[in-house]
Amino acid sequence: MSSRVVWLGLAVAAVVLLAVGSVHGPESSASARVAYLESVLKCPSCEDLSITQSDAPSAVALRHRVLRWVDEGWSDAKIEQAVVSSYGEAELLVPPAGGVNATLYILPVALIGLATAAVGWHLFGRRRVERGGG
Amino acid sequence: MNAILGQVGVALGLLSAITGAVALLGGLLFRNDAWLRAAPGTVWGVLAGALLATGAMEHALVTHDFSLAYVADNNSRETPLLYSVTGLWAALQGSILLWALVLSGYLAIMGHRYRARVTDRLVATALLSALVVTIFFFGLISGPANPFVTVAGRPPLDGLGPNALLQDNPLIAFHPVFLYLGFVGLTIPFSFAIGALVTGRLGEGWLVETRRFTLVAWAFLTVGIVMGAWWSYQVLGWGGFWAWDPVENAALLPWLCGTAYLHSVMIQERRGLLRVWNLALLVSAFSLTILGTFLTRSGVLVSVHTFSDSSAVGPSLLGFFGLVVASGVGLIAWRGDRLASPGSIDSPISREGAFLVNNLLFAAFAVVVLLGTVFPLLVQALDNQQVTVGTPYFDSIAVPLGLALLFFMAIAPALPWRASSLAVLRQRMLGPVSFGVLVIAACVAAGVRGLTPLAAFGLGAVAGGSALRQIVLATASSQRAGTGAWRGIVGRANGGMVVHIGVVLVAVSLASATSYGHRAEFTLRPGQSVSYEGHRIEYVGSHPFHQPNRSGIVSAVRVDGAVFHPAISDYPGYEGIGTPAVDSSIRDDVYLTVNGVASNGAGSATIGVVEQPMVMWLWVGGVLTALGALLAAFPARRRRRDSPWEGRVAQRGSLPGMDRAEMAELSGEAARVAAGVAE
Repeated sequence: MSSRVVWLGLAVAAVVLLAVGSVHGPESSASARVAYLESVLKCPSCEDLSITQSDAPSAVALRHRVLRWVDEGWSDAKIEQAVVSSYGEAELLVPPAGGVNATLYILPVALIGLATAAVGWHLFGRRRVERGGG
Repeated sequence: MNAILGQVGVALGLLSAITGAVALLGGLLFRNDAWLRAAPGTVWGVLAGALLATGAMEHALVTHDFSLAYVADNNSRETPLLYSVTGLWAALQGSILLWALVLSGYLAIMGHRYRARVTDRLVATALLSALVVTIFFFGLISGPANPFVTVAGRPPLDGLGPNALLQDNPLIAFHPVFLYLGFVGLTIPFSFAIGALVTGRLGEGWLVETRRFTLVAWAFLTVGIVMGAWWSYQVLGWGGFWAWDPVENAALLPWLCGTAYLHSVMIQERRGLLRVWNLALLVSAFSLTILGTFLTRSGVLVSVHTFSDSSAVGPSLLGFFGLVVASGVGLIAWRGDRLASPGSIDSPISREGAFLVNNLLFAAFAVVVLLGTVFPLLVQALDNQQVTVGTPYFDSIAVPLGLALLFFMAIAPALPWRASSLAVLRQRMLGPVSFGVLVIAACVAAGVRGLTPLAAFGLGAVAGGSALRQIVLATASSQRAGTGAWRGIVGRANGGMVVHIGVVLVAVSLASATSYGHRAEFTLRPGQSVSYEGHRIEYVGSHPFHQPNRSGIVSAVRVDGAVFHPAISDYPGYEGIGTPAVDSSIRDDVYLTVNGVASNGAGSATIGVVEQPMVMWLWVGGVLTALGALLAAFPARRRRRDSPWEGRVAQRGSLPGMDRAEMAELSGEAARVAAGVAE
């Protein structure tokens, strides 16, 4: 059996296994949703802690409300909106992507793109130019 | 008396550093070798001053000398001896004193080691740079961060005591010290980089001089960060070990730059490439230690780890950060013409190609962490808005970058230098990739679900398999050559593979614990038990306790037959501090907290339970990473000019699983180890 066939088999096996393993992943369970929401919502009386990380009474109360809302079938967006309505936007540990906050998302992508282009040039383009130049 | 001794120590250190710097500057400007030769001796004055000042402060803490404001604020008569000693780094002024002490130690090693070569202008300039940094820190403890200020009027009869979180776990005795050994150690390679830039001697000589300093500083920083995560886990009570907190990020940023540098520097040593990049990484790593200190100690950012701040040091630290960045960038720009690489990377399928991409990923990682850390500050300054950037943002970037780093960590060791082909890569990676696919298959068969954790386990297995393959080949090769099998794990390349295995363990543990952790809260009567995630948890009872420095309620909770004691402690000035208890095993951790109980311990109690798989492997991975770094820094034997090593390898032919090119690489590697030059 040629090495190419072995590698093709390994690649197919990895893709199939990852696809099978992705079904019903931990991300989709109710407890995972609660864990995510608890990590996204800031403890109202703390400076920089999520409600998971704090045992302040306000954090404990908000944890109980999140549990109740998830049990009642609220979506993540609706829960986040309810918290923002009560406490303001700074209550979210992931700032909404609009306005000046867009920088937080655009800048890394732009920098990684630029750096990739620079590395690509270093690895490929520069040699072509050198070869072309003589 | 303590105040006077401390002030004398600080003054001695500062004056010695100034004297050394003046002698070096004068010697360099007027080409006076006698002045240059006199300068290294001053480092002993700096060290003596730092030791005297630190000794005075420790004596003041241990003897509860509340005439010092620092002691009155961070110590009390009830503070146990251990936490009196660790009080040195319980607040800003003492922390800066510790910084100065560690810096003096590194400076003494540098001055002693290079005393015979100080007339070399590069060495003299490097020592001058290190002394300027020293002057800055001694200046801080002489002025805005003076720990020897005395209280006005009569000293109080008792002090306030340290922050409760700083007297709840003995790890506080080690974690900050290791962190500072890492931060401050970066001063030496930075100083040599400045020396190389100023003198224009930008070849590879200065890199070789500082390689071991950088590796040791990186190892200390790694241990400091892992210990910090362990401390958070053991003390903060929420069951986590990393929260992308500003203080944690401040330690991670120089670590990321340092890790990138340790890889890219090999490209410069081998090929003379990436000179600007390596200098930029060193300047970045050092300047980020200063920026991190500014961000977390000046009060501009709030962190759960910031136990004190002083706006007085903010302008000084920010000004020094600006000076470091401006000097570094300015010198690199000035020497731009001499920094051009003599060639370029021959092929993307090569060791240097993989290192280049891994450097890009580390740099991107550092930029994202820095941006996320300072973003709330920038938005508030520019837009007067309050935003919070927390764990979910950092995770969203760190997870894909981490997976990409695992991928390149897997393939880089299998790639030869200069150029290779896909056929070579396929041949060398077949075993590790097969192992990775097998691990994913085993996980899926065992019911493990989730794309991200499965990808992490698979890539971790490939990276671990790749590192293990290198170690096995190097060990077998060394054994056959008669130099001892142990040499297969010694030296930069082989020790680096041990580091890789440690990092794989950390990555797999992180993926497992964060993806499959569960938390719950149970209100139980004494004797009542519940089953949770395969564990039997029984509440035995609670009772009050009283110790000199704290009192509270301690509970007894039986987990699978063994009894653990989570508590709630009240310290003077701090009430209701949770002290978790952890049932740790190689399979999972059961983390227990007391969330509610009657003050007399009677009746039912509310017990918080966090179950997370594989947490112990995070600490094992951290230890292995540090051990690998030490093996990488291990001094090999002196050069043996008549070493028969290469010839013997060539005669005996290749080892099983190794192609001819790899045999040549390995023989070269082993020869360097035996020669003690490259490693």
